[in-house]
Amino acid sequence: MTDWESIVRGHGPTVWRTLFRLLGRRADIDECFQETFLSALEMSRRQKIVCWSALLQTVATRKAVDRLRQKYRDREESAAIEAAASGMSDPYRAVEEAERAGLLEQAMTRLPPRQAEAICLHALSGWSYQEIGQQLGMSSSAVGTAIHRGKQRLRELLEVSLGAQPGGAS
Amino acid sequence: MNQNLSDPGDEVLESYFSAMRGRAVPDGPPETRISETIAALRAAAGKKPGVFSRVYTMKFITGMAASVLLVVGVVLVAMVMLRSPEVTFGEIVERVRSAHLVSFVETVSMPEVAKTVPGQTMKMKFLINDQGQASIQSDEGVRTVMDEKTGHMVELMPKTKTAIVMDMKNMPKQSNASRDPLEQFKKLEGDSANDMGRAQIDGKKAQKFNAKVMGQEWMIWADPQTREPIRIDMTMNMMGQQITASLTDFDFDPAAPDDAFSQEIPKGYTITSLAFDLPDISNREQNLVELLRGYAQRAGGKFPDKLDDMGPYMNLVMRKSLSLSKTATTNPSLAWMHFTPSSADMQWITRFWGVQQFLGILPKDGWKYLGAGKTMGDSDSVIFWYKTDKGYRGISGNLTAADLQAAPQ
Repeated sequence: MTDWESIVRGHGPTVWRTLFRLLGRRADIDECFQETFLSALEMSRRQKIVCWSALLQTVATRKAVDRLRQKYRDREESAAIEAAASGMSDPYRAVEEAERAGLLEQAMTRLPPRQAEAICLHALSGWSYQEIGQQLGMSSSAVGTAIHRGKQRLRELLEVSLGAQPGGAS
Repeated sequence: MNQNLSDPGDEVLESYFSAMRGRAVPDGPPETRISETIAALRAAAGKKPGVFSRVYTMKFITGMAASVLLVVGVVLVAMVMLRSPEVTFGEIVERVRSAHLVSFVETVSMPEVAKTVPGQTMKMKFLINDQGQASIQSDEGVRTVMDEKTGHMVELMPKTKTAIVMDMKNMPKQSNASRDPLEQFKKLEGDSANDMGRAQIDGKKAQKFNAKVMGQEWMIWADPQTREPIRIDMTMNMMGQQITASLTDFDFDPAAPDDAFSQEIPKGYTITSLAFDLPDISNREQNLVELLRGYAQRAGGKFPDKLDDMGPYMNLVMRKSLSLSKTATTNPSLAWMHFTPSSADMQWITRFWGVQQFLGILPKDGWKYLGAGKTMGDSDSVIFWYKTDKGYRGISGNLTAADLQAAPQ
């Protein structure tokens, strides 16, 4: 029988941090946290889990990307920025960083989900292409291509976002 | 970290990622969130019984009709477990969901008997659908058609022009869903088989698995490409003999005639009707008590060695019924395949399936059977205990149940 208490206590902090980096808002994180483990339970019924840490980080990233997409559909980005900014000591820098994070969040919701997941796992969680490929069922080269294209698209989207902001780059 | 991120011209994008990485991230979730999540997981895990209890539930019908139906449960579970390492459960579920009709061949052999009497094997062709109907045709011409929704079974024996009609009444309502095999496909857990690696079977490349269920050893070979079983070998002990059932020639959604599941009896057949009123197994503890009492009464006062090994229980039932079934086959050594138990025996063996359900919902370390080697009547000896929300319950050798202060060793 799976020892869920050990799994939640052992991997909960990593899942929480993964969600926090991507979502930055407690209410979203709370929901995604539990959903991540419930999804993992479902997956454990279907297949033998070799590495809980990798699985949970992947699922958490997927949940967070889904949540971001939903959030930006609901136009709640300002709340996220405020929440993210609240934890920083330098108010000016904090707001700037929060804006950047918020814009990146928003841009990532425009990527195909798999591309967004690969980028998050690589850029935020520090996974190698090979590790991502193993979890997402892709070859390393396919992961590289997805990340490259994703980044290209992100740059385009961020340029457009900055151009649309008052005083932003034209 | 990020060794692959810094492509030329990527600094701007990196600054955005850096902003996201730099978010003030707490060390971990608050304790309340952890506790709530653990509780939610336990609740979700408890909603679906383990694979064994589901298999046993399927075999509830198996036990009713004949031991041949055991195979249906085997196949249902095996199909889920037969995935190659690349196969996900979702794919298996989808495959199972899409199969409205499955056929396969079962070859039963007794290796020990075959050493002295060659040719002691029996072949049967199975056809089962997603409406709870099954048709089984033996190589001797005996045809059995079952409808688990109605509990009606017809067995036709052309050589003797006889028909056995069996009706099983009072099937527990709570088991309705679990008697629909394809419903079970959607919920089964598949972590009970060991991956034995690649192998060749019947001239095909396969992924081999091994599992132990209800005291039976299973060897399973699956096609990694189609995700379908190639062969399942199931070894069990019945009547002191080792019996191997090999399932082969699987066919999903084959063409079948409209009357494939017809239960019509041809004219001129002599009909033997049997009806079984099934016992109430809803009180799980009492059902276990009655199973143990029935075993001891049939086995000279001794309790069984195990609660989850079907063989000894079936042996006790079958010993009494073999004389009748020997008329049903030209192969006396395989008469057990056609055994016809008494109503009382059928009622009793039904309790076995109820006990498997009971054990299936208890945590693995939440119960223990201590009755091996003990005889009925010893009030000081606890032969079974299980954990409850409030503490422990125990059943003693005189088959009374009571609360316990602690779990006996």
